[in-house]
Formats: sequence, structure tokens, C-alpha cells
Amino acid sequence: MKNKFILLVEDNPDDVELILRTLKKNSIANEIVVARDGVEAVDFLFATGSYAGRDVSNLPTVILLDLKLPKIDGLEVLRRIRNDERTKLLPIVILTSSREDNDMITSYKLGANSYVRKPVDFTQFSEATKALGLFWLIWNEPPPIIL
Amino acid sequence: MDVRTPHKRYRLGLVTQLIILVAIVTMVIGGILGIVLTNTSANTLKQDVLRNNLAQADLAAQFASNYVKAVQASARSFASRPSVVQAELADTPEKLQLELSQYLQIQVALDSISVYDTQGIQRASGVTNATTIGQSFADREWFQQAVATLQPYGGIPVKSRTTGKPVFPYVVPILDEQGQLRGLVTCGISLGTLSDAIVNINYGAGTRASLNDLRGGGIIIAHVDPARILTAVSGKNEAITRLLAGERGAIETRSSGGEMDLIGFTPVPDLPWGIMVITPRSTALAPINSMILKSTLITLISILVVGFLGGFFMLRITRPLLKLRDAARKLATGESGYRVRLTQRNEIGELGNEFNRMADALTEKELQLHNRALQLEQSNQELEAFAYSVSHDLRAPLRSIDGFSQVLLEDYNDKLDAAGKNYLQRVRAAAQRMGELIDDLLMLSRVTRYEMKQEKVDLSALAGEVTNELQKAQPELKVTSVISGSLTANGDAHLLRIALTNLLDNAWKFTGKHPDARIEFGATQKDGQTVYFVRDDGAGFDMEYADKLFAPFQRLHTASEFPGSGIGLAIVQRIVHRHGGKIWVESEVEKGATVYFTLD
Repeated sequence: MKNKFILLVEDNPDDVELILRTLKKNSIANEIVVARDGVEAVDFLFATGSYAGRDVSNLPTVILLDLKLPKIDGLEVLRRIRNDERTKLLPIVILTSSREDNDMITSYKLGANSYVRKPVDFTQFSEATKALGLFWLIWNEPPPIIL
Repeated sequence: MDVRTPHKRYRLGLVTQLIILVAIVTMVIGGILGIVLTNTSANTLKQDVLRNNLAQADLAAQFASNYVKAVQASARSFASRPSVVQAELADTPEKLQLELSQYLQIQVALDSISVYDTQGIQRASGVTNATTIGQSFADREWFQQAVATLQPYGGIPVKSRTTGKPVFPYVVPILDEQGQLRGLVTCGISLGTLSDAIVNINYGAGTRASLNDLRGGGIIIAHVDPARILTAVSGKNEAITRLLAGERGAIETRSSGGEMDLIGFTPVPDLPWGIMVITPRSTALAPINSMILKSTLITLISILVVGFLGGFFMLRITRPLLKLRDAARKLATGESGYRVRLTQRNEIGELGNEFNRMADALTEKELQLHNRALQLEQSNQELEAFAYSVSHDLRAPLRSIDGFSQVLLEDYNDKLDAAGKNYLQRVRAAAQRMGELIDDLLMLSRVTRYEMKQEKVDLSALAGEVTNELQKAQPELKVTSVISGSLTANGDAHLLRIALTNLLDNAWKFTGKHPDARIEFGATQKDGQTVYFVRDDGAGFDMEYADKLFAPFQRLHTASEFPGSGIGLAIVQRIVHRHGGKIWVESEVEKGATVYFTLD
């Protein structure tokens, strides 16, 4: 049994910092892997590129995925994850500033499990992050590993 | 797309309709003209014939009268010859035989002349070898009349016993000095001669005359048919009746033969006679009938000619029109390059040119429209991109500002004094407010970009739902809501709900400071259009600033008085405009406000 960990795909270092801080503050001590763009996220998951040689079967418990990302955007990352048998069932939470209807609809269509909009108000943002961490790491039963 | 719509088959084409129209008009006009002309001419002609016949009758009557009177005067003069009187007085009329013969020879108007004694015995006659000498004529009407009156007398026409010919007997009594009847001279005025004289006058084609003795119901004395002389006037018509009554006139009447006659009739002066000049109507109107025949022929020929000419010209007119129709059809079905070619140098040719010019303009407009649509699509895409970036990129730094301010407040709490903490709180508040403003802007943009659906929306029900939500959210407020029933509109339910929510929310907000409030949603009619309104009796505003009300983030009250960003009415205005409607406000400070809007 491997350790549970979160994959945070987020290009904004401020957001990364604030999210990490909030999770730590709320005693969610699990490992958090941060990917700064879509390519990095995909490389990590499928052990390619700079992550070549990584154990592919070691998958995150949940992915927090921003939509607006350099190189490959969040929706494309989501599509690739859902198109691969190994990651098909991975829980994915879209964590984004966008509240555009199109983004929400496409995300859910592509198989996102949740859609959370980052509030401007940091107090609310902290609440949301904390709740997410608690829910996905503690309360949610992840899908059984198929491979 | 179907490029060529098949030609429609009309029940009656334009050409046929026009030809039929022209034919009908020609026939009607020709017919009316014919009838009027015929009637007028027939009447005129009849009147002419009647007048003419009467004049002829007058002339003939005068002639007959003069003729007979001259003969009678001559007869009286003969009777008063001394030799004649002497012989009678001596009762030797046989001696007059020679004188009678001589007189009869010179007096051609007479058939006979004889002398009689007082007993009516014929004693001598001017007729050569008369077989009647010695016979009694006492049974004759003229004899009895002369004996009774002792006056010269014209008797009822009879067939002469002496000659066997029809005569008008004229008897002159011969009296002695004591006035005693001594004998009679009677002459038979020849009706054959008289009749010839009367009948042979040329009265005009088909016109004849008839002379009658009117005594005893009428006896014919002169007639074209000699056999009818001395016969009774048969089948009395109105002219005869009136002649018998002594009248003169001209009438149209039915003859015994059944046909209509035009008759002029007049009594003969000084004689118990009447004369008629008769023209059968068919003869009189014969010229008219030939005129009718001619005019009918002319009308028919006119119709044929007009029809042919009309058809020819109609074809000339309609053929280019059909071309134009086809061209219009081609244009309509998308062949924007199609142009019509009309060579006529007239209005139709001009029409073709104008049509082509219109088609050019249309093509150009189409191109412009296409470009405009492309531009519009592009700017929409840009707007979309802008909204996306606002939503995403502008919010991220705000989150950092707010987040790190909070981090400062938490992690460096002991190093900050009260003022520093307060400033950081203000930084956070400003960042959060900006976040709200961005959200409002996004809302406005979303309302603008939203793809509308047209459906029937129950505005009354919608207002009821929104009111319930507002009451639930603010249970402490006492608001009387008046919502007119069954107000519907064609529009987008989602957008209209947003609009009503904003309007009613405003109403609740601005009446919030009154202990009780009345909020009304209803509609009135203005210029045939439904005007909806939301009315409150709340804070209201000064109408001087009414024009600022619909601009985004414009507020007429401070945020501390009434919270809000000032985007609500801007959103409502966009929604109303997207429905093709208008929106305006009426208000007075502390007397409430009414927002009116239409939805076309």
C-alpha cells in the first residue's frame, strides 16, 4: 500500500503557495506533487519525459487540475487522463478561476468528478481547499486499482 | 436549395384575363351604344313617319274635299241650268237625254248622271244605252234623304245600278217657285277615279292611303285594292275608332292583320269621310334594322380586332414581365449573379434596368451583410476571449493580494500594529470588492452573449416565484406583493427571470427601510403595446439623475445606505433590449419608483 498523495496541477506559484499552506495548516500532511503545466502533469502520470522511469502504478488519490495552463491546457490533460485505461477512473477535481458555462459543461462531459471555482476571498478559498483535501483524502473511497 | 421553382399554371393568365376584359368592355359598350342608338333612332324614325303620315293625310283629305266639292258644285250648276229646270217643271225630263250625255262626257269625275221624277223613277240618263230608265230608285237612301230634306245630298256610296260601278251618289233636288219638289238630278261620282287619284299619290315606300265613308260604321271608298272598295271597314283599329269620333291624329296601333302600323288619320273637311295614311312599322323601321345588323357586325369586328391587337400588345408587355418574374425567382433562390436582358426602349426596358440595378445593390448589400456578420462573429469571439480572461486572469492576482494579506495577518500578527492590521484588512476588502465587480461584469457580459430562446413565458408566475424567494430570504420584511394574474410574454424564460429578479430585488431593497411596503407587478396598454411595470413605494430617487440609472456601476444611493454594485438595472436594460423592448423609470424621492418595460 503506497502513500496517498495529491497531484496539484497549477501554474500560478501564488496559488500553489496558498493551497499548500492551507493544506498544511489543516493537518493534511500527505505528499503533494505539483505540476506547473499540462505537459509536466501528463509526463508525471504516464512516466514520460522528465518523469521517465517513475512507477506508473503509483497514482495520486486525487488530481486538483487548473484549466488555464501553459503548453497543454487543463481540458486536454483531462481528456488524455480519461482516454488512458490506467488513469480512466482517477478522481479529478477541476480547480479554476473560470465560471464560464462552457468550461463547466466540457469538464463534466470529459469526466471531471467535481468543479470548484477558486474564490477571490482567501477565507473562502481556504475553506474550499480544506474541504477538498478532507473529502478526497479521507472520506472518499478511491476506485480499486485495476492494473 | 431548389434553384428553379417550376412555373405555376394559372387558371387564367394575365394575357387571357386582359383580352377577356377588353372583349367584355367592348361588347358592353357596343351593346349599350347599339341599344341606345337603335332605340333613339327607332323612336325618332317612328315620330317622323307618324308626322309625315298625318301631313300626307291632311293633304289627301284637303284634296279629296276640294275634288268632291268641285264636282258637286258643277253638278249643282248643271241642275240649275234653265233647260234642266224647264224640263223638270214640264215633267219632260226625257228631253234632257242629250244634254245629260254631253255633260257626262266632259265631267270625267262622274260615272253617271240621271234625272228622276218625284217618285224616284229614272226618266233619263247620261249613260249611253242605260237599261235602268223607267226603273224606280225610290228605295235608294239618297232619294229618301233628298225627298225628306229637299236639300242637295251626298249619299252613302253604293254600286251604281246604272253602270254597275261604285259611286258616291250626289243628288240635287229641283224645286218649283213654291218650293215643291219637281224632280231630281243625281250624279254618281266615280269612286274608281277618286280612289285612283287618292291612292296613286306617292306616300313613300310601303305607305298606302285609305279613304272611308264614316257613316254606318265605315265603308271603304278608296283603297289600293279596288276589290275592297265599298266593303265595310273590317277589324276596327284605334285609328278608325278615333276617326269615327271625328278626331285627327297619328298613332301606332295594331292592324287587323296583327302587325303594328303607323297611321296618320284625319277627317275630310265638309264630308262625312276620313282618310288614313298607313305605314307598317316593319317597313318604317327597316332602315333601323339594317343599321342594327351593320352595327352588330362592326362591334363583332371591333372585338376581334381589339382582341388581336390587345393580345399582341399584352404579349409584348407580359413577355418581359415573365422574364422579370423568372429573374426575381432566380435572385430569390440565390443566383445573385443573374441579370435580366430586356431590349425594350420603354418603361418596361427601364424596369428591367432598374431591376438589374436593384439586383446589383442587393448583391452588394449581401456582401456587406456577409462581411458584417463575419466582423460580428469575430468581435463576439473577442468578447468571449475577453470575458474568459477577465474571469480567469484578473481574478488570480486578486486572490494573491487577498491571500497573502491574510497570510501576513496570520503569520506576522505580532509584528504588526493595529494600524497595519487595519490597512491589510482594507487591502483585503478592496480586493474582494473588485472580485465582486468582476463577477458583475461577467454577469452582464453573459447576459449579452447568452443565446436566446423564444417561448411563451408566464411572467406572473415568474414574479410570484421570485417574490417567494425574496420573502424567504428576508422573512423580517413586511411587504404586500400585488401581482397581476396571467401576464405572459414571448421571450427567453431564463433572461426574463434574471430581469424580474433584479427588478423585484431592487424594489425589496429600496423599501427595506419602510415599516411596511407595497410592491406591484402589472401591465398597462400604451399605443397598443403592453407595458409591464414593477412599482414600489420605497426610497425612490430624484428624476434628475434618471438617465444615469442604467449605466453599469452607477448608483444613486451610497453603498452604506443600500448595498449593491449598481449592475442590476444595467443587466435588466440589456435583457429588455435583447427582447427588442424599451425600459424607463419614473420616481420621486421617498415616494417610490416604477420601472416600466416593453418586450416586443
